[in-house]
Amino acid sequence: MTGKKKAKNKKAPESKGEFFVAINNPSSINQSLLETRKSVLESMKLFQDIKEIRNQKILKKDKLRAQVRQISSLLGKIKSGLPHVNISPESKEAVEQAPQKQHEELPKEKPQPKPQTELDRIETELAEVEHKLSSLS
Amino acid sequence: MMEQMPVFVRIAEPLDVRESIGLLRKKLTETEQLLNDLNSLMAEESAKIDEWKSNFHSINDKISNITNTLIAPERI
Repeated sequence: MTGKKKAKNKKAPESKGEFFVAINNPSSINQSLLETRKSVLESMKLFQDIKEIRNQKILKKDKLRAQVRQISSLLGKIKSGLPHVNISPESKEAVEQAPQKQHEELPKEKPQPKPQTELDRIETELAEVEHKLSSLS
Repeated sequence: MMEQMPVFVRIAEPLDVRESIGLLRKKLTETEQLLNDLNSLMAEESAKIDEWKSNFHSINDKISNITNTLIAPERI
């Protein structure tokens, strides 16, 4: 008789690699498992919804980009259709001496010599327009 | 007195300019609508992500409970 076998607890005999666990309330575990499975499926569905929303966002952004380009080209067309008005020095002084309403600080910006990127070009043009607006007010 | 006098300018092709201005107004309206749509989509996305996060926490808790039950058995 080999003395190595020691039965420690009165539990089910251990066979190779099998481990038995007592679950007192199996129905609650079953319910938890099913609820978890349901939550996982809901998560997967949410992920698909988010993917769809992101696709729609990309489409909208593309449309917006195209619209902005069209607006920019229309503005250029309108600007070329309108005459360029040169203000004479006397009337320019009169405009500058008129009381200025201080909405914001508007420093007299000189246009930059050569804007390098599209953004620089737009910012330069914006500064010119703001300057013209402030001189009129 | 000079600045109060009206200024008359000659527009070479008034019909083209008027048409361009009309088109510009239309484009601006469409752009505004697009921006509103984008805003709604961003709000919807944010809400879905919050829901997803809460779902994830719930799954995490359930799995923890199941794991605790299975790994810490009662001794007979």
